[in-house]
Amino acid sequence: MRDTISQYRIEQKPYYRAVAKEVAVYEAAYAERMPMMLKGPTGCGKTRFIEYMAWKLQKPLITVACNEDMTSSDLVGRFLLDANGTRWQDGPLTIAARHGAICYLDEIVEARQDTTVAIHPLTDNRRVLPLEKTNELVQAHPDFQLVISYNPGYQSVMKDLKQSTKQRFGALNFNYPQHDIEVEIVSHETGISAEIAHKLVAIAEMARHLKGHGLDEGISTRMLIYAGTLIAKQVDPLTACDVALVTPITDDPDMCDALHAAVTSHFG
Amino acid sequence: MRATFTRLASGLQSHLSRPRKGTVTTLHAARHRTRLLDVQRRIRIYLRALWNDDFTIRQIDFFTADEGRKPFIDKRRIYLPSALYADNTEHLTGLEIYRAAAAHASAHLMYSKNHFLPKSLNHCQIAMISAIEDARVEALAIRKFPGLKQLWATQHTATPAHDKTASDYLDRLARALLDETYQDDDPWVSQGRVLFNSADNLEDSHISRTIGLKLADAFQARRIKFNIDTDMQSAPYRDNNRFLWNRPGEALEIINPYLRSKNVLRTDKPIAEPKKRRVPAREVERDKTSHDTYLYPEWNYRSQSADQSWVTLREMDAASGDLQVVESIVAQNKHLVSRMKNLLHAIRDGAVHRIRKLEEGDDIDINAAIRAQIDLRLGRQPDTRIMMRTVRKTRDISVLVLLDLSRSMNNPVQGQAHTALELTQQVSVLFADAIAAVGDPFAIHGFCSESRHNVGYFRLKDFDQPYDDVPKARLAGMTGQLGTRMGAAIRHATYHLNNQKASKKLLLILSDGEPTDVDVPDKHYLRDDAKKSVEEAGHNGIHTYCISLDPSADKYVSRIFGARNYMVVDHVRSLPEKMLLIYAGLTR
Repeated sequence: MRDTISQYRIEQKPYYRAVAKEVAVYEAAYAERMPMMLKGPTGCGKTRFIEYMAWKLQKPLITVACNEDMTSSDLVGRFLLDANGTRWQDGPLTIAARHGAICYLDEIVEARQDTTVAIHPLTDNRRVLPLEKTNELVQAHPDFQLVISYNPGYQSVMKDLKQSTKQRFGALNFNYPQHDIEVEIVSHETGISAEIAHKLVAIAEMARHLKGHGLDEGISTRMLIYAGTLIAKQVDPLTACDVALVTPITDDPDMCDALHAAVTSHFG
Repeated sequence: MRATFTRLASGLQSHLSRPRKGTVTTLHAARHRTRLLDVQRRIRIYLRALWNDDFTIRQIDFFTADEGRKPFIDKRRIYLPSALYADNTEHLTGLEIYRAAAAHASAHLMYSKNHFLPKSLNHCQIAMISAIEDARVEALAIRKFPGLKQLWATQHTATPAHDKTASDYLDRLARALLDETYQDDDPWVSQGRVLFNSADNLEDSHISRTIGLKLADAFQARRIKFNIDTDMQSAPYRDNNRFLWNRPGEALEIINPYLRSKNVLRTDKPIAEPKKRRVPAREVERDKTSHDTYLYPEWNYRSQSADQSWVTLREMDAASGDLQVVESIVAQNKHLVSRMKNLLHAIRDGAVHRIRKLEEGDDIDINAAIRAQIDLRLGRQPDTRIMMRTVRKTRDISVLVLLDLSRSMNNPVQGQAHTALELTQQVSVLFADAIAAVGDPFAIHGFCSESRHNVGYFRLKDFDQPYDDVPKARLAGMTGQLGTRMGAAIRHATYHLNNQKASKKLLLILSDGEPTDVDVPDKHYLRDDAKKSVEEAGHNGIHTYCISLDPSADKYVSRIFGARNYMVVDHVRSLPEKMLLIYAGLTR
């Protein structure tokens, strides 16, 4: 069983540039095993942060990307067939609870509400996971912690977490880093010079001005890293920005044109 | 006044006396024309991206004389020419010139904080100080956005060969200050370059005055005649700099008297008061039966703001018609009804669906598991898809069908014998029949308008009303009259949908043409307002979809509703079926 969990250990130190006190706060929260919620726009470093923290705390990390077809069986587990009949297969949440891992549910709002309710008994002082199908009550391992990520912005009003779910978590707010820090991140991740990274970040900041004025979400740090990676592969910066920044973010021709012009105001 | 008249008269004369061949050239030029209306939104987005601030862009009035066609700034509004032509020689498109002009004017608004006092300065000095100020704000903007240099530099065409007029020298100075690769050995131009480059602090606008005055002295020594009206910088993107010399709050001094005429005032208030006219008897009758009055804002694209409580909308009782009409529609389309049944069955509310043959599901599908076990024991390769998933299908959707009941609906549909209204009636009856069978709550409302003071809204069938003889009679009694003020109607439909509890809300609009009304001559105005109202509906979680009966609707419908949210029906026979398919697709 040791092997099941060891594959979730993070061996290499992930690159993470702290922007505020989030590392210390998270460590304190982990010490109490407080369930945590990471809020923030897409591509600002939530997943990277949790990987870094798992590495720092030397705990295995089980990540589940949630989608709207996900049911509670996908989290908790299900019966499978083998040569001798049926066999119970633990789901990722159960594995994490049994073996003491950090379970990270990415984009939790995507999952249906009846699915999210499955995590409730694990997130209060009971710290148990009832497995209805096997008639078992899994007591969470002392190292187990539940972390969810949540992007309050782009989904419509209809997709929101229930209050009863929200109030079980402590929350860390993430946003795009400040200019200099973002330049540092982009140039570290892609190997491009700080000067080009500075231009990319400036373009992203221009696009972020347009959030709510025609764009649902600004250009994220992740997109900048894609653009930077292309530039590092000798792609012409204008093309790289069009491919990685402008075209993916909008279908509106006016917006595309204005963003392209914004790009040329730095890479003219 | 007299001077203006003479100028207009001479302009007209020269236009009429132009040889016929000129018309061909004009037509040719029109192909390379960029209209501000078409690019205004992208320019506004561009400026917002640059400065994180909203700028108002307006077009310079048509009646302005040629020398007034230069961009200008007034009260933080940027005025740009209504159309620009592509410059073949420099490969400049109209959009690029607009963009450069908007970037330059916005740089003034960001960096030209101090206004200059024209007292005791002559025209030459004013022009020089303005030229340096232009260079100063551009240099500051380029510091922040290096690519702007390229955008502006391509629009300067002055060379050392231009050495006749003061305007030539101004252009050369402007180019030299912007573009360090430009070669010009003229001592005066070089002096300008040296003075500008040695300025300690570009943030300080006083350097424009100091350098400008020095250059003006040197220039006057050359004894080249200077005329303030003609000797301006020729780069098409640069504004006339009048803004620099008017203190805020002071009225803008404009050469052309027409700029202050009612034409410009009209752009500020796009909707004139409607003229009084005789009210038809039918309408009076309707007014008597009107229930509630609602006030709605309307979006004014020129001022980029909403005029609050601008439109008065009245809910009115719809007239009833002969039930026979409805029955005959159903009877005539029996074949269609039977074809739709299959489709309806598929989208009907089914309690629990089992999706079988899954590799990964919630439960084991016992039959498949036994088959797999048998295969295993027989030594055959078992089918691994032995799981199943149960999905509870709940339909939680409200749909509102909004019918355009304007006068144009009385026209026959292109290539068909029946009118758009008859078609609308047919579609609504069949659609209502179908949706009633599915069991989703739905409403059918209609609208027409006559100026902003009188938008009529008819609730033919309400959400909580059973689909019986009353709504059927109303469907039978629908008529088409007056205009199509779509934005207000969409806002009111949004209001009704907001009162519904369903998690998915759909607004289907059936229309035969673009928004028009008697009091709005400007097509763009109502289109932009309709677009805004669709966006607002979106913020309320309402999906809007338009079915247009106008074959030439592609041009504007996608702008109003978004690229994927409309369908232009060109062959109408299958419309009811198509509409159901759309409905099934959107509500799946």
